[in-house]
Amino acid sequence: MTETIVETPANVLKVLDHTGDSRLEWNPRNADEVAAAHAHFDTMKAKGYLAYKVAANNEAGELLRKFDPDAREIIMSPQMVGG
Amino acid sequence: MPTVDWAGWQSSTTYWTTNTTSLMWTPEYTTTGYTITGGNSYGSISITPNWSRSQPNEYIYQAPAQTVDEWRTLVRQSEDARRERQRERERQRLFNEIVEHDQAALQVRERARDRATETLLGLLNPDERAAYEQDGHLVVAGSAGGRYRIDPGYQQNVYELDEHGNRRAGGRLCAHPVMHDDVGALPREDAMVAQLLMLRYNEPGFLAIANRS
Repeated sequence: MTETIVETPANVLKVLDHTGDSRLEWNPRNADEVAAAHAHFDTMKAKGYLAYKVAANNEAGELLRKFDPDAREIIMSPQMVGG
Repeated sequence: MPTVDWAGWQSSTTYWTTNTTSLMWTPEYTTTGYTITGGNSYGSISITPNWSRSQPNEYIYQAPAQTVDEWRTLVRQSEDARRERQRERERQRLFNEIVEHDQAALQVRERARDRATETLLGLLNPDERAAYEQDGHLVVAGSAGGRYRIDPGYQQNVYELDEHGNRRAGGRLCAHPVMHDDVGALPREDAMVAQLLMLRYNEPGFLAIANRS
């Protein structure tokens, strides 16, 4: 019997910066990677960054106040200011 | 008449008179740059009829005053030219450094913009992407029911739209992310990403922050 292995794309945390964005990927089934992503998320939140869970074609996205390890993509931006 | 760069000679007793110059040098001294040629155990000096050796390591050159003045001028000109060449080399070196740095910085900026554009386009559905690529701006549905147009840029680039898709009077909004991190400036496409996300998922928050004109 042939077993088909399907690789799941890693979840990704994108932080907007001078390079465009810095990216951190994690496998939601890997506790260490989840912890690392969570820690980075919390670090950026402490600096005032805003976080959004996004999905393809802008479906099912939301403002994130806490890290969601199952989010396929999280984008964090610096805090917003009036211009 | 030999060309002499007196500035290179180490002399403890060099003196100028109207027609006499005395030079002393040590075995370690080199004669690079001198065109006086000849030879002795310590350096190179042309033993011409005008040179007389008063004692070991000391030569006396009997020269007319005009010759001495000419030689001083030659030395000064030679030194000035040497310093100017040095300055020119330094200017060229700095210029080359600046050009290389600017080119590298430009490449970094372009890569950043490409990356930010990729993120921005990934947030659009096919219709929105087509409209952006055609019109150069984004149209966003706000989380509270409003509609907005985001123009390229990062400040004063968001407009409230009415039900017909036209800009509302007094509906120009300015809110953007802090555009510098610890290293450098964010590309403007990142600002558009941040504006789009906030309008789409926290429209009241955006309106509370934005300045209106």
